[in-house]
Amino acid sequence: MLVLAAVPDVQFHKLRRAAGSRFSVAQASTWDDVLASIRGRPVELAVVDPLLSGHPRSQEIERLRVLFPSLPLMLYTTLTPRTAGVLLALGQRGIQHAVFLNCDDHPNRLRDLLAEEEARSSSRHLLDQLADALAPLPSELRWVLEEALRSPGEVQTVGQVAARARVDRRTCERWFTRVGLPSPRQFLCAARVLYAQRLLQDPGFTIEDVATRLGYAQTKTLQLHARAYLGLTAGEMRLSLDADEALARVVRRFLTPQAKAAAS
Amino acid sequence: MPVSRLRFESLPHAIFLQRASGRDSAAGLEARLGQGAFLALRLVDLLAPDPAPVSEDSFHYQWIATDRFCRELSATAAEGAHIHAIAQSASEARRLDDAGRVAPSLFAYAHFLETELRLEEAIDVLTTMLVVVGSRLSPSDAVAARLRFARVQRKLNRFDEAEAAYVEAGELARRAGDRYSELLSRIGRANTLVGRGNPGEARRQLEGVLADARNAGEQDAEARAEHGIAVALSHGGQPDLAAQHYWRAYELYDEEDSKVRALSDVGVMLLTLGDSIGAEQALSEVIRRGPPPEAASNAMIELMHCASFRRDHVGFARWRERCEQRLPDMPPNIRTDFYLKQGIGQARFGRYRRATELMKQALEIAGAAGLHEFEFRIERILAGLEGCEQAREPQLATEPVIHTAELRVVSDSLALLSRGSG
Repeated sequence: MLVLAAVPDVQFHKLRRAAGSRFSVAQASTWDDVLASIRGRPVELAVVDPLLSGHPRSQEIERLRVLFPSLPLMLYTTLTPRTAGVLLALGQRGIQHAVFLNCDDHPNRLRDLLAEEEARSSSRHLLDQLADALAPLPSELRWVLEEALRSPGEVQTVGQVAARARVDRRTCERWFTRVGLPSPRQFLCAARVLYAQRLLQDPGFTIEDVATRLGYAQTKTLQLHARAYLGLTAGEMRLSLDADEALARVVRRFLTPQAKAAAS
Repeated sequence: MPVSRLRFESLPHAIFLQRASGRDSAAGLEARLGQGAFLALRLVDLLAPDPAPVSEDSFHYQWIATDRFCRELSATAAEGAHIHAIAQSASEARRLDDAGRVAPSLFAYAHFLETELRLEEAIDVLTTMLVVVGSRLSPSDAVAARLRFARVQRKLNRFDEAEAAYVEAGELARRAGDRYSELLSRIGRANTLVGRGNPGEARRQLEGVLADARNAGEQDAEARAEHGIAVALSHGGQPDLAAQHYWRAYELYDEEDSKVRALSDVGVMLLTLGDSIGAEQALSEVIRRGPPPEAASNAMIELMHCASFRRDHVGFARWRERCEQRLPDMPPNIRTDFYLKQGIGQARFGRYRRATELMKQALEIAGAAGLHEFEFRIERILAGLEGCEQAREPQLATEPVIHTAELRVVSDSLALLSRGSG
């Protein structure tokens, strides 16, 4: 899982140490970098310091909240009278978690907080939605599929899934058939469309941003998949479906035995 | 929302950062106290059972940082001592694996904040207590915490929240067989009705509580019910009847602070009725008893008001000076009241320009502290001041408007009290 750290160096090093192997941490040193990273990389959680630019500011963080409401944000800053006003303003706008440098940023604590925030990430929500469908699969395969949902740019083909699960492609396909799921290829495509639908609910993402972030070679492919799996264009699915409705459509069309028969 | 389902909607304890966020206050003691409270309460949060408790190392790390900050504060102000006590008790609670140990220091700090009229902050502390240790409080503490929470919410005019907490406290008290707290919960709910503008129904309910308290032999609850009835009558425009009930409350209270509060209310009511002599006797007795600082300040302000009512220049100047000496320690509501009544006094002596200045000062303090009721009252009086100025004729002191047989009993008792103590 990729954590974006929009914090000065001291906090970045502490975060990296706390994250261990469970989270990858990427640093952004300006607010423009922050926006570019969220749009272009699979950032699931952002840790931000209102003092990033040297002066305490809440506007940029408020802007992130408006543009990417589904992105969990955690404040990691220094507690001084200078930051008090900013914290107050951000608290009133719904930021619930803050960590203070040299106060409550013990590595264990930071790791716990990252894990707490991970539970609110889009990929986690998507995994929870698909948990029932994935449950009958063997655990190795399930982990790889979960990984594919978290980093859709890295695991895109059935071959990659099979290789990571250390089974051959045919075995992978047989497992899907045995538990009544559509082909692994269709499953991966459907999951990516659902993920795209979630991301498109955030006004800060364009369709092109989402296509890039989810590893589609072209925006056109995302459009084609959206039509195939949800019966809508990408623009329409942004406006007319919420996450539950989108999942219900995919389940109705692809993840039930009758739908599977119809699709094949 | 029921107290049992309380949770923080935003960054917990951020209310304390307000003290540090002002441009002028950022470097001062107030700002540091705000930060200290913020840190200490965050340490308490770690004692919550949900989510899973933090590791020993994480707690120790945070405790060291919090203690370093709060220890310095404990020597600087009474509030600093409260804050440090919270941090210390949180550490002890963690060491002994008994979260309930933090409750006394949270109770004490919430009480301190309530008396300082920092009501939003008091609510934050009480919410922390209920969220973090609520399920691990003893039955009596659980009831007391809800009653306190309800009272502060009532003072903030959040009547729905207050009522919900009073109901929950009453239910817990009933289950624990705590008759006294059950009566307090009913009194609180009735007092909430006064706040909602229904003093008639409040009085009716309080009379029921009064009868039950009498039957149960709960004298303190009886006194509080009498006090509540007096407040309801006063709000309902019946100060003559209110004065009698305040007096009854005074007679029934056992605890000295409550007695003084009731006696002070008797004085204010008598002055409203035009009985400045009775009022002075009551208020002087309050001062003589050496009450807590706030009660003393209130009584002195009322005595200044009595003096201006009698057009007694010397008395007015004497009490004004004594009040001014106490100004630095007065919370905003009392400071507002002082400037307002000083303004009224100056107007009574025909010094309208000075009166206007003082009332504007009162208005400014009330506005800054969010004391809206005061603001409305001052604006109304300020508007009327112009009419008085046009008349250019300082009014003479008025005779008592109402003097019933029951009021005479109160006045006579007060006279006896004054003679006895003099």
